[in-house]
Amino acid sequence: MIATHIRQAWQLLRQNKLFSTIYIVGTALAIASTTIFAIIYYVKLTPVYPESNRYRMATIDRVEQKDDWSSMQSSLSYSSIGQFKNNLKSAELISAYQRLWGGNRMTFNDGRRDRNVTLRPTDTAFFKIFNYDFLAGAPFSDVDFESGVRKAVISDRLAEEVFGSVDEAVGKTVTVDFRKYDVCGVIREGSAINRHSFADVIIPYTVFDNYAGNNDPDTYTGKYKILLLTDDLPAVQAEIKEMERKYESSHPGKELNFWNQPQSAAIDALGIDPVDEDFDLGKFVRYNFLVLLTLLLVPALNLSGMIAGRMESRSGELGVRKSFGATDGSLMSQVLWENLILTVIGGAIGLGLTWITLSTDATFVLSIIGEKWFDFNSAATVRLTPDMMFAPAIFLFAFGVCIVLNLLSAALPAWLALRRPIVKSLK
Amino acid sequence: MISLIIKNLWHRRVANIWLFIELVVVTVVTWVIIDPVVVRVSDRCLPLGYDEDRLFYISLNEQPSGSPLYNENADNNESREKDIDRIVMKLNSIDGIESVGVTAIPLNMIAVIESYKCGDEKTDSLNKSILHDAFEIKDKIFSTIGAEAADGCPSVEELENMSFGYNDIILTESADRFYFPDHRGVNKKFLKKRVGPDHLIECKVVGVLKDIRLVNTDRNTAYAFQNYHSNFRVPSLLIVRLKDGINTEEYISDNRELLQAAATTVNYYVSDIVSVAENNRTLEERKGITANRNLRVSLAALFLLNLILGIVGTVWLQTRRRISEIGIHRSFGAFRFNIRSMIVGENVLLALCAVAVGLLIYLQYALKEGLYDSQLGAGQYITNHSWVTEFGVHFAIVSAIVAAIIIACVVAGTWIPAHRAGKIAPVDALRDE
Amino acid sequence: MSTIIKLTDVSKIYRTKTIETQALDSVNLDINTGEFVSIMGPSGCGKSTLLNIIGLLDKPTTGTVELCGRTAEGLKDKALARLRNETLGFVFQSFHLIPTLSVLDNVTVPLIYRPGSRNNRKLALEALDKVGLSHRVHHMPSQLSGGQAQRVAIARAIVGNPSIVLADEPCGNLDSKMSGEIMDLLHSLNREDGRTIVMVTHNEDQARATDRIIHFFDGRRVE
Repeated sequence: MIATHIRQAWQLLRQNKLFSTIYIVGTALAIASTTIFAIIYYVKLTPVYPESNRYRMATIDRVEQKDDWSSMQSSLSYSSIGQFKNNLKSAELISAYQRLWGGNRMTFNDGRRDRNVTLRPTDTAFFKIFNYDFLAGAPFSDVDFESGVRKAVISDRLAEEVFGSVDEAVGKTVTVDFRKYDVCGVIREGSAINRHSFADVIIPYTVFDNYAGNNDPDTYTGKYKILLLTDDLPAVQAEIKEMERKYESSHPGKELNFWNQPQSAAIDALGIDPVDEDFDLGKFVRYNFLVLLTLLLVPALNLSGMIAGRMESRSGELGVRKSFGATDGSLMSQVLWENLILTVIGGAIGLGLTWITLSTDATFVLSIIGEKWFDFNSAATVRLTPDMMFAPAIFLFAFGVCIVLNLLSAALPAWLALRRPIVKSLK
Repeated sequence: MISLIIKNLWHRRVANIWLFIELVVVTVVTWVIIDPVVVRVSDRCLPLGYDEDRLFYISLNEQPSGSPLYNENADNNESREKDIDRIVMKLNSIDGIESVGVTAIPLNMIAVIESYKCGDEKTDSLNKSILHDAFEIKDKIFSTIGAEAADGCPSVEELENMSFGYNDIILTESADRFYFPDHRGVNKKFLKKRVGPDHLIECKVVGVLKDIRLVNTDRNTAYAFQNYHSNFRVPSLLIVRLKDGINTEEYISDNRELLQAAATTVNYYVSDIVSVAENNRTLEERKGITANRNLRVSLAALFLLNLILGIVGTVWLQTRRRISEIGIHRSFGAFRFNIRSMIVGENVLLALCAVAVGLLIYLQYALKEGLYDSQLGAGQYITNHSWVTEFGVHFAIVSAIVAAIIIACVVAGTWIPAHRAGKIAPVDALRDE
Repeated sequence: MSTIIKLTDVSKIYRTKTIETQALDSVNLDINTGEFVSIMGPSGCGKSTLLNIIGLLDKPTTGTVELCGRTAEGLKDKALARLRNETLGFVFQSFHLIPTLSVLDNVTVPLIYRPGSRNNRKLALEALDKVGLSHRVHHMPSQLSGGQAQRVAIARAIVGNPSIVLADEPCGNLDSKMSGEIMDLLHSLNREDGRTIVMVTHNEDQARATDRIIHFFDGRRVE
C-alpha cells in the first residue's frame, strides 16, 4: 500500500515540476530556519566540548551594593571569591575569571605582525570545570598560580598560527599586550559560541599587579565572573541569600544583592539577565515555542494553500477512487503520504542547506542570530564542530518538524476536499 | 474591471482562504518583526548635530608596568599632560589634519558622571535627569567635532578659551529648554540635587550649544557638559578632524604608521585608530542593535520569501484551472494586459483585505501592549519628541510600510504566473477542457 | 452585397517534434454581409481551425484574413483583441460560460474590454431579453440547463453588437428540442439584425436551413 503511495507520489512529483519545486523549496526553507535555531540551542544547552559539566555548572555574573548615597552594580571582587569559597558549602568547586572586554593584542614573535586574541585570566579550578583536551603540555599548576608565574595555555588554532604546529608550541613564549608568557599547554579549541570556556590564551590572573583590587572583604564589586559546580543549586542559592543577610545585618543601611544567582548554566547560556527577578522560565519557553511555531505556521499555510489548490484539480481522480470503493481514511492517508514524501525531500535539502551554511560561515549566521551570545572579538570566528552539527538529536528534530509541518499543512485541506460528495467530485 | 475582480474574488473565496490566512499571519508577523527596525533606522537617520565624516579617533594606551618599554619616571599626571600636549602638536603638523581634540572616552560612550536631578528650590520635584558628561573643554573637543553655539550665546571658540569653575555647565538647547522653558541663554543659575540627603549645589550655565546627538543610537539631545578636571579621568583619546575633501578610511590606512609614530611617547602607545563613523557602527554592534536588525531583516525576508513562494504556487495552480476562462475573455477581446491585471488585481485586493484584517488584529495587541520604542530604557531621562512616541502616527507609518511590503511581495509573486497566463493563446485556452 | 469575410490562400500547418499536420490547405473563402453560412465536414477536417482563424484566435501559417475590409495580417495582439471585441461574437459547443460569474456578468464580459463602453448592464439585459432569459439574470451557470446556457452564450456573443457571429457546433451538446430553439434564435439574429453568421455543424438538417453550405474534407474546400 505504502509502496503504491510512494510510486504515485513520485509520478506526481515528476508531472507537476513547478508545484513540487515550490513545495520542496518552501519546506527546505522552513526546515533550514528551524534547524539552525535547534543547532544553536543544542550547542548552548547540552554538554558539548569542553563544557561537559554543564548540567552541574552555575554562574555568578553580577552583584549590587547599595547605600543611601550610591549604588554600584558590577562583576565580583577578588575578595568575594574567598567569601564564596568559605560560605558556599554546597558548591563542589569554585573558579573565577576576569572578563576582559575589547581587544587583547598578541604580538607575533617576529615583532612585526599582531592580532587580537581572547585572553582568559583565571585560576586552576577553571581546568576542572571545563574538560579541555590537552593536545600538548598541561595546565599551569597551583604553584604557578600562587606565585603569579607568566604561563599560558593556548588553543591549537593559535599554536598552529604562531608556531606552525601544536607540538612546537610548549616551552616557547607568546606576547600578549607586551607581556611575555611561557606556553605550558595547548588545548583543542572549543566554539566561540560558548563564552565562558572559549579562549585563545588562558593565563593565571595573578600575573596582573592589581588582581586583588583593594582586597577589602566588604567590597563585593570588582571584575571577576564566578563559575561553580554543584549537584544542589537551590542549596547554593540559599547559602548566598544567607551571605546577603549576614552582610546586611552587620552593615546597617547597606544592601547586598545577588538576585537569583548563582543561575544554572542553561539560564545563563540563554542570555537571561540575573537582575530580572520576575523571569519566568515557562513564559520564556512558551515565547520561544511560539516563535518556532510561527516559523512553521507560515510555510505550513503556504503548503496548505497549494495542497488545497491541487486537491481541487484532483477532485476527479479522488471521485473515481471513491466510486470504486476507497474510504475517506485510505484517501486521507494517501494524500498525507504523498505530501510527506515531498516534505521529507524538502527537509533533507533544508538540513543540507543548514550544514553547508553553518560549516561555511557559522560566525555570519550566528552574528545574525545575536552576537550577545558570545564574546565577540574580531579574531573569534565561530566554528561548530561536526559533533555539534550532526548530533542525532538534530536529525530527530528535523524529522519531527517535517511530520508536524506535513500534518499541519496537508491534513486540513485534504479533509476538506474529501468531504465533498462523490457526485460533485465527478462533475 | 474592478467589479469583475471583486466578483471573481468573492466566488473563489473558499479556494483563497489559505492564502488569505497566510497573508493575515504574515502581516502580523511582519509588523512585529519590522517595527523595531523602522524605529531604529529612523533614530539613526536623525541629524547628529555634528559632522561624522572626516573625524577619527586615536586611542592611546599606557605601557603596563611589566613591559620592557615601561618608564616609571613618566608614570605621573604631569608627564601625561605634557605627553598629550606634545602628541597634539605633532598631529597638528601632519598634512591633512585640521584640528585635534582630547577626551577620555568616545563621544558615543557618554557617561552619567553625576546622577543629579535638577530644578530650582521651589520645584525640585523634577524627576527626570539629563545625561551629564565631562570633557576637557579647552582641549577643542567641541570645535573639532563641529558643534555650534546656540544663537545669542558665547561661541564655541569663546567657550574653549574660557576658564571653568567646578560647577560651570554647558547645556545643549534641548536641555536648556527643559530646565528653563521661559528663559533662554547663559548666566542662569540652577540647583542640582544629589541622590541621598538634601544636598543642593548651585550651578551656572556658561554656554548653550545647538543640539547634538552624541549617542548615535539614541534620540536624546539633552546634555550637560562639565570640565573633566572636576572628575578625574585620564585623557587617552584623541579626536582628529581632517581637512575638506579627504576620505577618512583611506587616510587612516595610508597614514597609519605616520599617525602611530606621532602619537607614541615614552609611556603612551597607539592601541587603535578608527573613524568616528566606524566607531558609531561598532556601538550599534556592541549594543546588539546590528545583530537584532540583521536577525529581524533575515526573519522578515524568510517569511516574505515563503509568502512569495506560496503566492506563486497558488496563483499558478489557480490560473491552470482558469485557462478556459482566460480563453473566453481573450476571445471576446481582452488584451494580455487585461488578463494580467485581472489576476494581479485579484490577488492585490485579496492582500489588501488580509492586510486590513492583520492590522486590526495587531492594533488590538498594540493598544494593550504599546508599540516599540528604542528609548524605553532611557525613561528617566528626557528624550526628544518624535513620531515614535505618538501612537497614531507610529501605527500609521509602520502599517503603511508593512502594507507596502506585503503588496510588493504579492505583485512579485503574482507577476510570473499572471504573465504566463497572459501569454496563453486563446485557441489553446479554449481547447483546454 | 459586400464581402465581410475574405480568406485568401489560407493554410495552417501544426508542427510538433515528430509530426507535421496540414489542417488547412490553400483555402479561399468569401462570405457576404448578412449571409448565414454553415460549414460541414467529418471530424478533423479543419472546420474548427477555420473558425478559429476567422475568429482571429489563431494565425494562419500562410495566406491572409480580411474582416470588414481590414486585413488581420501583421496586427499586434492588442489590435487583434480590439478587432475581435468590435466585430466578432463567439458561441462555443461547450458554452464556455465563466462558472464564477452570474448570467448577467457573463454577458457583460465583452463590454468590459470595450473602451468607453457605458450602460453595460442595460445592454446586457437587452441581450438577455432578446434570447428570452431576462428572468434568469442572477442565476449562476451551474443552475442553468444546456439550452439556457447556450442562450446565455448567444446573448454574450451579440451584446457587443458585432457584425459577425461565429458558432462552433452550437447545438452539439443539446437535445433536438433545445437545438431547435437555438437554431431559431440564430436565424432570427440573422434575419432581423442582419448579422453575418458562420456556423460549424454536423447536422445536415440544420445546415440545409442556412443560406449556403461549405463542405470541407481534409483541410480543403469541396464544393
